[in-house]
Amino acid sequence: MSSRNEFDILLRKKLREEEFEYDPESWQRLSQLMPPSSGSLNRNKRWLLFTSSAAVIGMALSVFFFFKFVENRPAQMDQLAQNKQPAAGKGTQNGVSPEYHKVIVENEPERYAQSAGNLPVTRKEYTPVVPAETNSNEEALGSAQHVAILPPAAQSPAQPDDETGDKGSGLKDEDIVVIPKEEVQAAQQLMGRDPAAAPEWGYDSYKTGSRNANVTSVGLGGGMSYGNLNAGYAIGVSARTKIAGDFFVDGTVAMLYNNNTSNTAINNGPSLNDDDYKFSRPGSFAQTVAAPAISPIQRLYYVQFNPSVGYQLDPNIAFSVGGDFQQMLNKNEEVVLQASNQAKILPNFDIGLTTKSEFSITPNIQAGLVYREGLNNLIKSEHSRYVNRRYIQVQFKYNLPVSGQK
Amino acid sequence: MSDYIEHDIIEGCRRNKRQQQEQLYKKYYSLFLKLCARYARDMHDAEQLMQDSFLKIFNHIGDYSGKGSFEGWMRRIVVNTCLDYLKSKYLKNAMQLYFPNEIHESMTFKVANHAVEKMAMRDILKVVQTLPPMSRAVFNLFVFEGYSHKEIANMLHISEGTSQWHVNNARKNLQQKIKDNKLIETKML
Repeated sequence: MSSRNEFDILLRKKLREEEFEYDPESWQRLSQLMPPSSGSLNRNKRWLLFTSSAAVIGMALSVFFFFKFVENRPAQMDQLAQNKQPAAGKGTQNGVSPEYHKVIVENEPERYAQSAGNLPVTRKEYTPVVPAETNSNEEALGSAQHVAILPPAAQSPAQPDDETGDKGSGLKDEDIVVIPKEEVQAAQQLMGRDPAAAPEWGYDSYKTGSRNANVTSVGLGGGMSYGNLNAGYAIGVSARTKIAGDFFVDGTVAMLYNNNTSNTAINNGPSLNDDDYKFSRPGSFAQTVAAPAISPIQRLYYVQFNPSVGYQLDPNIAFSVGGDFQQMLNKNEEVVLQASNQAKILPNFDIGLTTKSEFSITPNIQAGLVYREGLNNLIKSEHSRYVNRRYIQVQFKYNLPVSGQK
Repeated sequence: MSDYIEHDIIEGCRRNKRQQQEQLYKKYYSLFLKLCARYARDMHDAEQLMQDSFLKIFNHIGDYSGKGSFEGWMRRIVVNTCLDYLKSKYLKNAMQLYFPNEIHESMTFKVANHAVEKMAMRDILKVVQTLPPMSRAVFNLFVFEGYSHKEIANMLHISEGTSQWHVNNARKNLQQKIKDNKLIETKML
């Protein structure tokens, strides 16, 4: 029930005639008082899930490859022993064949003490191997002046294939090849190892199947990308260097060309107003309802810097994660895209995150798959104003080693 | 605001989506700022009242059942926020038992109407803000919010007669001040 007083009516009329101009800063002040948006909460939850998953996967891979290395150490020891022929007159005189591949270094006796038949012994002090109940030869380890090469049959007490039928006691004097310790140490020094240190079962056993056996390399490559609002091409140079173990750092500088032609064509369907047949643009669908058009095709050029940290999973496979920074070159102002009744901005300086998996086709040629996610909306506080330049990129690189193996 | 868009905004606000909240704030910014300005003593307090009102709206939007106008639902929250403000600050003695400053009605009425026609909205609001707090509250509830004297009496714990007195008193005060402003402007010219 409104007052019918003339003065009251006039007051109401006057207050309805004018409006206050909207002040965006008042919204900023209010939004700071409000609890976090569920959008940002979801975003934070997604990031938490992503980083947690990445951490779990990373840990699982680390554990897996750690145990794989541990398993492969005997095999790698075999490989080393194959590469080192026993000294002339030692072993060959006894007709020892190259299958004898176990080199036992004196300074790791405890590792072999647990399995019968692997006890390093001197030639003179050798006694037939006894199953694991006794460690009678352990005392001999401390004073051994020589290392013994034992046949594989001597490694396990449970091998019943000895001709004599003894379990693990098939060693004979002529089966043992003895190398002076000094020769073993000299061989280790040649390989660049400290003789007093435990053997390293890492890159040294890698062959040249992958360029990543080299410490530093540079590469030239290019790629094609396809994403949510853009497609494009890239060409650039990269440099990679090992930092520790299987970890490496990689840096890429590239030029990118981006356009949203395909998305514009798909979204600008034929008009429904005319009865006449309308030619649709290539790549669009005739049955597409005329949606609000994406703004005109944008051809954008970026310079990209992509530093990353990676891990060599395999001689031919590497995985890396890093930041991605792209600066738009051909436009100084922000480019606004109108899509689905919403305006978004293509960032002038775009910050993102990349994950990359690479496969070595040949020692010098690599193929890679990159996924990029834009981070501007997460980093900046303008409430999802920016286009998330998310894309997948297929890359090919030609690599040149700069420095050799360690 | 069309029903379709209003529904989206309400749903978005229920889910605490910042974008929809901002849309709602922007849409009703002017309307509710004018409302709050009529109850506050200055524009700074008015904006503060408006922000407090929107906080309550966003916090309690889940309580909106969908029945009745959404704007009317929000408006009640804003008015109640303004009344709470007045009660806490100025209306501790809600029952005014005396009727000070009775102004005789003369030519003031006609002069005021003519002057109001030429006044800007902000100036009218400034004049309203000069009213005594209780008269201001009752006048706003009666003239702008459309409450009856009985409803106002229940809300403010006063009698219907007191409510009527405050409306008349406010009206006369406003007319006098508008006339005084016009005289000042005339002298300045």
